[in-house]
Amino acid sequence: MGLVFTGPVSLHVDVVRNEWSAGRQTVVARVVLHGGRLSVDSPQPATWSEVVLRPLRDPETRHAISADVEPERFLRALSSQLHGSHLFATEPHEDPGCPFPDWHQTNVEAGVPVPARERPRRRAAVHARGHKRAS
Amino acid sequence: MPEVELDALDYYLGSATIVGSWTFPNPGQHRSYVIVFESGVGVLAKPEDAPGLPAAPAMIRREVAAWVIARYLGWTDLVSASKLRLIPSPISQADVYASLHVLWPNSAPDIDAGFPDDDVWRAAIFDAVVGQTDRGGHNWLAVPDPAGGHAVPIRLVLIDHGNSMQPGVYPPTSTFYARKAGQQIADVYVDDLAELFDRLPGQLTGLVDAAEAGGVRDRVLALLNKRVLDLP
Repeated sequence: MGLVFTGPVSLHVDVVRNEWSAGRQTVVARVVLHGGRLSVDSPQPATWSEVVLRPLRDPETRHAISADVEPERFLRALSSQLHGSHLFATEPHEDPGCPFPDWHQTNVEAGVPVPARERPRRRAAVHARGHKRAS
Repeated sequence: MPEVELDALDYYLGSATIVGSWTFPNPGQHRSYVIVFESGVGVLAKPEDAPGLPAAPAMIRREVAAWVIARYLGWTDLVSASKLRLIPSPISQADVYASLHVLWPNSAPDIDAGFPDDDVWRAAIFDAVVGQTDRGGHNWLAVPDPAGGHAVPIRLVLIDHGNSMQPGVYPPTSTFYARKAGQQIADVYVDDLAELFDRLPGQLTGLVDAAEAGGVRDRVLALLNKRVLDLP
């Protein structure tokens, strides 16, 4: 993956793609507040910049929140409105403590408890039949 | 897809043995899990005891209700097959309900991929019917992932219906509804809406409350009466 940004960043939000079947998470974009303006760092900016900068909506007034007009408010609202099962934004944070410092995450952890499997009985029965034939 | 096959899929999702499961350390707002059933079918499980999400019990039932509506419309290519089922909780170890959603392989979230007009129309109508409040720019899949350069049509799949099904008649928050709002609904979709109306409340009963199911019915009726995609 060709990263376009490797230096230190200030307040930012990571936009994370959950590839559930593959067991892989990828930061597809990092939305950064620099000097009162937002910038988007992404390995595929042509694809993801448009997605992450789509206007948000104030849940109370229903008015649009634009990344250009209200950059800090947009950044702080992103995690509450981009929260899907396959793509979500983290809470805004500084570099230290960034949950995705390397842009991707391949570790998975245990999910729901899986009951121990019972030994299938059919295999034993087939074996017994085969044994009888052989004798 | 024939009803008997959908019923068989429903039975499988409700009864198949779990042989594996995992999650990510930081999976997002609704802590969810991949569950693999015997014979290898993978689903996304959203449990009702997700930490920090008190609305989860209602949300997971709305998710499954959305699939029921897709079935009644005959639009089973637009939404993942979903099922409400008891699973062992990773948190409490007790059995809790979860919504299970068959995972779409090779998909890309939220990409605006120039979908077929039929997909956009059905998504617009679907969002109006379910009262989706959370599809303003997000919560869909492009299948297959357009990044692969596939020489096949990119289709639209709708996901994440926990924020929907409010009582009453109201316009949804939906990118696709916004694209078709105010336009006349073609006869083919009116027929599908009529089929849905005849089957309501059906299996919505027990998933959503009477007011929420009534909202679905009221919105369908409003669309059938007007034949224009325009909810007040």
